[in-house]
Amino acid sequence: MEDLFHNLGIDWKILVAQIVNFTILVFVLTKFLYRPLLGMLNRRRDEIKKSAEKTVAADKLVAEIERQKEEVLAKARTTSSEMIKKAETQATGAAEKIMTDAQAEAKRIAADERKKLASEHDALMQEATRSLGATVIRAVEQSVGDVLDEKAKGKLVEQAMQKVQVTART
Amino acid sequence: MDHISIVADTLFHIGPLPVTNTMLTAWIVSLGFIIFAFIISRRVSYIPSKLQNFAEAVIEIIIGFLETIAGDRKTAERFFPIVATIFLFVLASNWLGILPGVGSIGMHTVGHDGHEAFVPLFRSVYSDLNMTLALALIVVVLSHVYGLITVGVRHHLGKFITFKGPVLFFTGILEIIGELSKVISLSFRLFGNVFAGEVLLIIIGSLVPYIATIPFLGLELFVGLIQAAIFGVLAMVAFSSFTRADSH
Repeated sequence: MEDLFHNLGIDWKILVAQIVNFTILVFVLTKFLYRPLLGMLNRRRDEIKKSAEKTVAADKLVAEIERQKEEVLAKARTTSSEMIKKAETQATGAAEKIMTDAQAEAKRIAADERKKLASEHDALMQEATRSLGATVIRAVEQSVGDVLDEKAKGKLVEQAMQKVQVTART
Repeated sequence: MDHISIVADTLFHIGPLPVTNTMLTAWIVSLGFIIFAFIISRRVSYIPSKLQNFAEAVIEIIIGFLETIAGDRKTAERFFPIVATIFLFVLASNWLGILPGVGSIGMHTVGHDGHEAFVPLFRSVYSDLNMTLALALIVVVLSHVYGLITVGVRHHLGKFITFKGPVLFFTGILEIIGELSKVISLSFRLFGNVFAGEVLLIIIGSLVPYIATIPFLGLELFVGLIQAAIFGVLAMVAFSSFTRADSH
């Protein structure tokens, strides 16, 4: 057996040295290479997993928000169209009322103006009649003088005034 | 033609320890890994550098592969340091063995028989049976240590020594022989492949230098990778099989 080991070059001292060498290598690589890198790989994997989970949750949240937004928008569209219709109806009613009121006001103003004009006209005519009456009286008194008595003068003035009034009316 | 020897040449002694050229190469490979590990450990960051990215990719590939053998990531991570070191160390040693200079740089010394002989300074690590045997012993002994820790002394030893019946008793004996043969098969498989590759390259290089060796160098690269993977896989199988309560 010893010869066999000798012929194959097996030496227990070299064997032990190689085992020690390999043990040191395993120790150093584990401490300085495998452990930090495996830790980093696992940390990165965990964070990627967490991020993926967060992304899924965020996608769900976005979908929910989108659904709620659509719901709110649909509701808002319905409400706004209802409001627009209502406003249109109210505006049409208001416009009609304004038109009616304006027409009534215009008629009222026109009537008032007519009344005012008529009353001014009457006042002017009365003033003119009075003035003309006074002129006629003076003209009668000056033209007939003392020819006629007071009674006749009064009658003549009265007749002249009646004619003046009739003329003024026409 | 170069000198072909199964036994690695002793370069010098450190006290009682003979330092062979395979051992020196193994130390250089180890030193390379240790330097690489120190460089990486000083720059580990959440956003990896190119070097860290490379190391992470290698680790991820190995651990993914181990996961397919172990069945779950937790078991794969438990045995990862030892199996990954086996794979990387065997791979680097095998590939270093075919680099120019390994086997060709050396010195002429006078042997015990008085003849002058060329002694290479470096030699492929696993063309030395001491190295493969050491690795095989580490794997087999550690597999039993893991087994003892995980399933308990009674259950683990019960797989080898049992008196529940004659058939189970002889099965236990066969299991013990199997464990011993595991050491031999693991060590001789790696040694045989690497040593044969060395011999093949020396012969081809001697017969038809330069161009003819190129395909064989490619073949040796492939063999180096395959042997490293086989050793790693067998180590992983040995570790995980003894840590299952139902294993036989």
